[in-house]
Amino acid sequence: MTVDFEIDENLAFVRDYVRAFARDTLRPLAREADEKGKLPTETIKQLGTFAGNRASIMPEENKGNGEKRSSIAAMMAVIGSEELAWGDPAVVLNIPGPGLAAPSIRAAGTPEQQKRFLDDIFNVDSGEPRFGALAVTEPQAGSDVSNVQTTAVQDGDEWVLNGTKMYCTNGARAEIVVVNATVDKSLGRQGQKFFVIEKGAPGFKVGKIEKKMGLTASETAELILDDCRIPFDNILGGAEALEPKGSGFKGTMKAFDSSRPSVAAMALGIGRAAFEYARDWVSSELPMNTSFPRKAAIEQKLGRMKRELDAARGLVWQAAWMADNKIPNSKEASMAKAYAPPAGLRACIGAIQIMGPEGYSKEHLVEKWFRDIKVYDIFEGTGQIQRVVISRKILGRLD
Amino acid sequence: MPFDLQLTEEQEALKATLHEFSEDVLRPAARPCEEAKETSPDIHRQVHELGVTAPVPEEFGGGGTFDCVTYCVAAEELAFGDPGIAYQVLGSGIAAIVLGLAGDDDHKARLLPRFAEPEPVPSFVAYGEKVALGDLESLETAIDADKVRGEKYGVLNASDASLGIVVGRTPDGLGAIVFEGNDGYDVAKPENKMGLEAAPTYAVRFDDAGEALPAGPQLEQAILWTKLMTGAIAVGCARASFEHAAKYATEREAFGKPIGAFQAISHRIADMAIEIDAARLSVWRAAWKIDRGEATHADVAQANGQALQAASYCGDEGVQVLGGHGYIRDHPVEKWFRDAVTLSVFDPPELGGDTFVARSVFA
Ligand SMILES: Cc1cc2nc3c(=O)[nH]c(=O)nc-3n(C[C@H](O)[C@H](O)[C@H](O)COP(=O)(O)OP(=O)(O)OC[C@H]3O[C@@H](n4cnc5c(N)ncnc54)[C@H](O)[C@@H]3O)c2cc1C
Repeated sequence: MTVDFEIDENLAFVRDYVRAFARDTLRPLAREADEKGKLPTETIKQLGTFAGNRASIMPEENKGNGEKRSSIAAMMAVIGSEELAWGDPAVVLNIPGPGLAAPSIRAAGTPEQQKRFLDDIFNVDSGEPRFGALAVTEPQAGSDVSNVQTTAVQDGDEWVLNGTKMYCTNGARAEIVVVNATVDKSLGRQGQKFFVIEKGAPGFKVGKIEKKMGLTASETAELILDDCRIPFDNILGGAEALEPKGSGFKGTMKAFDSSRPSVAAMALGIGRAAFEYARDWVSSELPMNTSFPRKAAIEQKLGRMKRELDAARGLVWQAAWMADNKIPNSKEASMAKAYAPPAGLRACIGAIQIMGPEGYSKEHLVEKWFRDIKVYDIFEGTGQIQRVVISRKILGRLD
Repeated sequence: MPFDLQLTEEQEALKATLHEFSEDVLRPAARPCEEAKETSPDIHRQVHELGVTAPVPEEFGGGGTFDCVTYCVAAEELAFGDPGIAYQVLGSGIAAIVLGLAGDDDHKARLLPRFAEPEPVPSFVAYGEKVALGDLESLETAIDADKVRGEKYGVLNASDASLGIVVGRTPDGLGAIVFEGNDGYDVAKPENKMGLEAAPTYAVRFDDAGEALPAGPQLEQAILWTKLMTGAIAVGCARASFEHAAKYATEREAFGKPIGAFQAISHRIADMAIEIDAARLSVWRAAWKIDRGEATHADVAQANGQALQAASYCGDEGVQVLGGHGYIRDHPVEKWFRDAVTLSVFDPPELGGDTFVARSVFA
């Protein structure tokens, strides 16, 4: 092995495949989806077909998980995420699949649960798009997950859950929602366990659907658990999870770390979309071959955008490469997640200002990317929380 | 008088009145006007009645005029209420200021009294362009005697204006042409903006003859005043985000303490406060120079640059301090961020403003 910035054939193939899909299918849907705040069911079905095809073009070894995980799975994820978000970050969240429910079920679920909740539900070819969701956030528990108030109490062969979850992506339409709830308040975080709620469970209600600055075509839902009853077997990890050393909170949360580089890659993809759009707009709309007062400033801004986006890609790929090579990467994953969203946001604002009145106009997509990208510095751990992680890795815990 | 930042009693009183008005009237009107994509006539009338948006001298039937510093204090306060509504009401009245400062006797006698009526006059002063943006020395719009030709963007009221002023370059410097009614120009298109939606704007093509305002230092200062309106609004927009975030930081708890106890939050709050004061002082300095008839283009470019930087920074951090809640429309911060970035297009420091200031350094 030696330092090499070129991706191999497999990855290049996937990138090109996803890029074409992003360009030909996602991008054309972007504006209407933003205006309507959703996609037509037919379109969601088509996106599901793509997801199926995408899985089938993956080299065989990539389909497994755990030990069978291939040596390029993380790289594939970040490269795919960048391209998809380049196409449209909100439409992407409408591609059917288990979404954020998958990492926690993989990390903490028993083999039987993995089959039941992931393979059986999401591999069936019913033609109906199916979604999974993860609901951790509560009104009083965002960054501070330890403050989760939702409770789970065993009642015979059932769990009874009570609480309110909020800002759950795809929560209202989900077939399964993974939630964390506390079984024993006195144990703090260790008393929190993860549960799978299936659609239609008694006492499971969908609350408010949020109106947002951007990502409007992505569903963000409030979920209310009002004496919500689920089978005892739906506790992730099974009965063993309740033992003192059972599948702990920390271990499960770690699974989400793997998503940080992908979220960073999405922000990078959005920033790159804005950069490329502004670059193309400048070449066709402004007399760059002559001199005019803003020319040098525009050149400098485009230069900075490219510099920062390439640096962000370096950080994202570093984190993914480490994951693929089984090198602990939580610091690097957080570095990518801390850097790429603000860099992408700067690129979006730069693009708006370069394009002037056409930048703030809904006639072009850059204003939408600006509205979409801001949340990438907030969800999956805010920029501040990433810095807490990074600095603790560097300095240790000083408090 | 030595260096002094104390507002007069009248200015303090005006500020207090407008602050209350902003809290009581503009804040509740902000989302409805945004959704309707226009400032409702009722709100517009109420602001107009306050007498700060289209000041008319008493001799022409108005309630009297005031200086540019006072104007900036007032504009900040209205924008604190809502930047979109502020942009609409201030931008619709600024023609009265330009006419009052730079019109000849006939213009004043003929055109000013209508601004003193209870109904606001749909009017505009158009200067921004696609390539030059807010750089007045690079405008492509050409004025030759009473003829003007060029394209402008961000033009308020263009579809039903009863009076409009367009700024361009004459062979000798800045010029301005007045149009009465909405003849003399074509509305190229309404601009569907991501922010400031309560202030619908249009791209407009001018290619006709109107009445020229007398060129000279007075016109120059009046146009700079018009431009500085953006900076004053930006300061109010920044302050709106800042105050909301600062309050939230004392109320919201995470990890057992108010989030303001984390330096990652408290330092942001401090940086916002610094940006806002720096911006306001730059705007006031430019306004003070306008009042003395001494403002240069660079003074206003600096002021706007500083203010737009503050607005974008505070807009961004305002959302960030609220975390996920900041991204949801139930809270106003996401709107102020969109408004700030939309405003920034009128005079973006890093994309023209600073270059312009740099040119003045070597002039
Ligand atoms: C569009 C969208 C989709 C989402 N999807 C999901 C989803 O599918 N599932 C889900 O569970 N959640 C989801 N969320 C919620 C998201 O993960 C939370 O909003 C996020 O974790 C932040 O929590 P909060 O909003 O409560 O902010 P808070 O935790 O209240 O943070 C407020 C501010 O304080 C700062 N802060 C907090 N603690 C510290 C500290 N120790 N040091 C320094 N600063 C600190 C934060 O950085 C932030 O600036 C989504 C949110 C949005 C907006």
